[in-house]
Amino acid sequence: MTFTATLCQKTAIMSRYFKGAGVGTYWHLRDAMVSGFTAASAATPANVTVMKDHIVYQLVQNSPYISLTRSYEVAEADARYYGKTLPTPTNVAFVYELNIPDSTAASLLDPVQELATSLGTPFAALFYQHDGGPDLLLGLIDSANFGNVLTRPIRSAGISTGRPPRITDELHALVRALRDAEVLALHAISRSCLISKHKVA
Amino acid sequence: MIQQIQLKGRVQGGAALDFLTVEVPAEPDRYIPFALVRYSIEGKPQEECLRLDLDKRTFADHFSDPVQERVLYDAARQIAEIVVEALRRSTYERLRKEFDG
Repeated sequence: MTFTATLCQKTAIMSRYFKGAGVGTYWHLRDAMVSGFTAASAATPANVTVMKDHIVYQLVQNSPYISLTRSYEVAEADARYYGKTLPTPTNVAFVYELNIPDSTAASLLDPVQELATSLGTPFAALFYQHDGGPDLLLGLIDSANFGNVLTRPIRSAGISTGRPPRITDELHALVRALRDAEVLALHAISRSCLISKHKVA
Repeated sequence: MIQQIQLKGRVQGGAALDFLTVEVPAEPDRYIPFALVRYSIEGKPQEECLRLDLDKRTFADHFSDPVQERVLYDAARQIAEIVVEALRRSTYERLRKEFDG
């Protein structure tokens, strides 16, 4: 009985997604509960370069992707702190909650998987791995406290090279997607997937 | 709580853009990697802010003018550095209070 309940709960959690809409942003001014979600530029061909531009450079207006997250907390931070102004009790932000059961409702892409499969083999001259210190990831995920590791000159065979570590867009994109528990929908998400719209003040 | 940091004179503007202040969430138990930048166009302060991701060091908002877009791109890194320095100072002061107090 407990096992069945756990399985059901897992199934329910598996298809749940969230999207934050800060004050003044596109999906704050439009009601996705009525229209569903559409990408800003469905005509743009979907590929890994466009995906990196979407994630790292936030070029969403030229993107066929729609960002979602598995984490309510990430969506809430987006809604509360990533609007064009901060929310107030009279002008609240929103977190949309979605249930996307299968690919008939929306085409979902895991950016980590997509990016990983696009990377070269370990024999490739262009590699995504960094050449900095073992603390480099701290700088990428907490630049407020460890940002110095991103600009600190790297050492090679005991001497300083005078240049900062090499950090590729691929590594940036992988880390950012993981930070945001991000999943991308391609082109559109049907309104039938939208469950509710939570207010964030 | 929101921490406001002055930018005037500290960040290179251009193409009619000037950066005025940056507002950063300051929550004691978590790091929020976002900031809102107040700016002016031709000296006129704008009502809406520009959204800056401190980890990505890029803005979520963009201009169609490529010269303004370049100014924005360069300013993102400068502003992120200023914010990071302020956040590190706050952390240092909080820890000093905790250990001295």
